[in-house]
Amino acid sequence: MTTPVLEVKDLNTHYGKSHILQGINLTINRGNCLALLGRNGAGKTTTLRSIVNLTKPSSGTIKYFGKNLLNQPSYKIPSYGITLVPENRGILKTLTLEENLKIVSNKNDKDNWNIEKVLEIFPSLKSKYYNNCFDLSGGEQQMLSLARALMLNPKLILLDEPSQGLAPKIVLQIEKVLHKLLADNLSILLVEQNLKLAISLASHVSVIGKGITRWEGEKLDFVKNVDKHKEWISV
Amino acid sequence: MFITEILNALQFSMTLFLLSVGLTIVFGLMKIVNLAHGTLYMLGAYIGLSIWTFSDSFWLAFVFAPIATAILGALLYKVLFKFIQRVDPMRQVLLTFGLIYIGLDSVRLIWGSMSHSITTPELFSNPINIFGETYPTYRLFVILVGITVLLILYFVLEKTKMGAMVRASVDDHETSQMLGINTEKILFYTFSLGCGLAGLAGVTVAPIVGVEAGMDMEVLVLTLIVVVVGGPGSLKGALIGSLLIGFVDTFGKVFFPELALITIYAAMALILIFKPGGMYSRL
Repeated sequence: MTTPVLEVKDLNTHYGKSHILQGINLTINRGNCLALLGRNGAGKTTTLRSIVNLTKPSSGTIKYFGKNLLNQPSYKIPSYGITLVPENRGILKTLTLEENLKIVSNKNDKDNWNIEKVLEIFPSLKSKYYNNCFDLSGGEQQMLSLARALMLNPKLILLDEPSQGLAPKIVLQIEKVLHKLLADNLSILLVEQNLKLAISLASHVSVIGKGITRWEGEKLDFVKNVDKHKEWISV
Repeated sequence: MFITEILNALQFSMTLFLLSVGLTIVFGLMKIVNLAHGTLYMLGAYIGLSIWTFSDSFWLAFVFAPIATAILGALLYKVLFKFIQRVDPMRQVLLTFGLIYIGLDSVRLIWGSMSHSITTPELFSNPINIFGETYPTYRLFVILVGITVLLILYFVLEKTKMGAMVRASVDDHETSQMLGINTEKILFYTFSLGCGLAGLAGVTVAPIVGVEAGMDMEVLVLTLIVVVVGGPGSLKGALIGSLLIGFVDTFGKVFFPELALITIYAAMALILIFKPGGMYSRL
């Protein structure tokens, strides 16, 4: 059996005195997408933030290709091949679109992502390349955020609510790109309220409720028994 | 008379710019108001005084006093400021306010409570004639120092990758970390540089305003006003705020001397009514 890209075991995280994550377990294999489902406040975003140490976990193990990630400074994590595309998209608004992409240190191997390649998959960013990022639409922001994440040549992207607030046409466009990335062996940990999109992308599903992993398994098993999970997700 | 006042205002503005630019960027990066920023300005002047006294060279003081305050800033960061980021503002205010008193007493202990002066370097001892008005060349030099620092900072911040990383960290430090930027390191260097620039301001204006304990408090309030009026976190804000306060203060004293004490506060209040986030604000 190959080493999983990411293996999280019994992850616990506190915000001050409140115990937010009380035992999260998840595994992602190469080229797979794991959809992390759960109600608002279940701890999905906190799980993503804890993996990259933006919120410091209190205990548990986080292994990336078998290597321990716990307590690594956040800024080092992208260099291992993991990055987070946050819910608010994290567009650096005082920078131009070009600077948003160029700020990422990028080795110029031909297999790697570069500006030409990311603009090729998100052509609508081309016309705004030299613009400031104040007036990007939600869709453009999401595309820029993804494009920028790709510039890091990641092996795993933690994607928080990519479809939030976007028109269906744009969601479809982003979905296509994500499918292509998965086919190219990128792994994705996806938090998504849009169940249809989540199911379309995911090969595995993890259901969390009140900070605890309630169920983990293959997508088909999840879809067959979706009614069983009603307690923990809004279907 | 008019040209003299314009140049005076410009010279004052540039001094305020040197003081406020470090403070404002550090505020943008770590959300902390370093009330002891004026103390580093004062220390720049005093350290400059000592170097000048021992070496008899203003230029050595001009070069090494800012370096000394930058190193002092680096030490302060490592032992104090690193630990008070993102804690509640009251603790930050109390701590940095405490540093002001430590600074004042240290200065009195080392240099005594007498005020001192540094002689204008010989190169600038003769005034110059500008459109029929004589003007001290040293003040022109202060303006030149300010403009030089402004241009260098502008170039570094706007045109280099390093600068983009600083702006990114001010913008969103979590996203920046997710792009592999070591925001902590950027903060450390920016903080030290800001302290160095405060020291540069201190040693540069020492031949004009003298060197005395308490000179820090005179500029602290003005610097804070510049930061607030300009809009915290940006180079442009620091520049606009400095020019505004520098000119309002200088011309206020000329045209409405009886209102001299309140003109800048009135200007600040007016600006904040119409632009609550400051002149150059992203809010």
